[in-house]
Amino acid sequence: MCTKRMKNFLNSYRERRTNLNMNFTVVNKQVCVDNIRILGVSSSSIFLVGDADSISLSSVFDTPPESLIIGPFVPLARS
Amino acid sequence: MYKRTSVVKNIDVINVSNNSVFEIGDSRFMKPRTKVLAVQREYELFYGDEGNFKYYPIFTDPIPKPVVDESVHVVKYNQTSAIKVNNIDITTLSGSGISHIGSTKTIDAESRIKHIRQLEGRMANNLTNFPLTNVNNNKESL
Repeated sequence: MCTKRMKNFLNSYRERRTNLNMNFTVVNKQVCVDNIRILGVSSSSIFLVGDADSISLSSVFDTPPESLIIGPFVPLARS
Repeated sequence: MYKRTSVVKNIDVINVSNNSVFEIGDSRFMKPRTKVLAVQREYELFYGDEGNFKYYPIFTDPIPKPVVDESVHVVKYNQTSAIKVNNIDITTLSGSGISHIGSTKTIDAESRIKHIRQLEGRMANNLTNFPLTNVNNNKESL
């Protein structure tokens, strides 16, 4: 009995979730900039003067302790 | 969707390197990718055929990205039709960096960097003063 009720609840919740709609309203007022000074744009960064719909930036940086090799200078990852 | 116009009076960029983009004008899709294997050695010694990315998983592992499956209804109202900037100074763009004057739809940038430092062994032993020879001798006696 309990499981049936739970199932019904879950189904109704899923239904509501799929019908869920979020409205997001943006009002862009006036933008007027005099001076911008940037030293560096690096590693998947952006500087944008304008509009965009979707931005996805990812960066992986690896300097683990084991990347410090002490020993004779052997060639690395020879092809 | 309606996009605004970008008005820039003066822009000064000195350096654009390593899969970076400097774009004036509108675009639809941008997908810069960078892979960097940075090796620093105690003294200059570089073989010509080093650096095969496939030996390091950091260059091939997939990067997890958020899944956007919600239905969001976006409405934008632009009160003015232009974004105005008087002056921009950029020293450098590097490693999948983007400088974009204008509107775009999708940007998907990715950069993977691995640093390796190599020091000479003789030098390190002198510094740490670790009794490597003594340890070996003890093992033999046991």
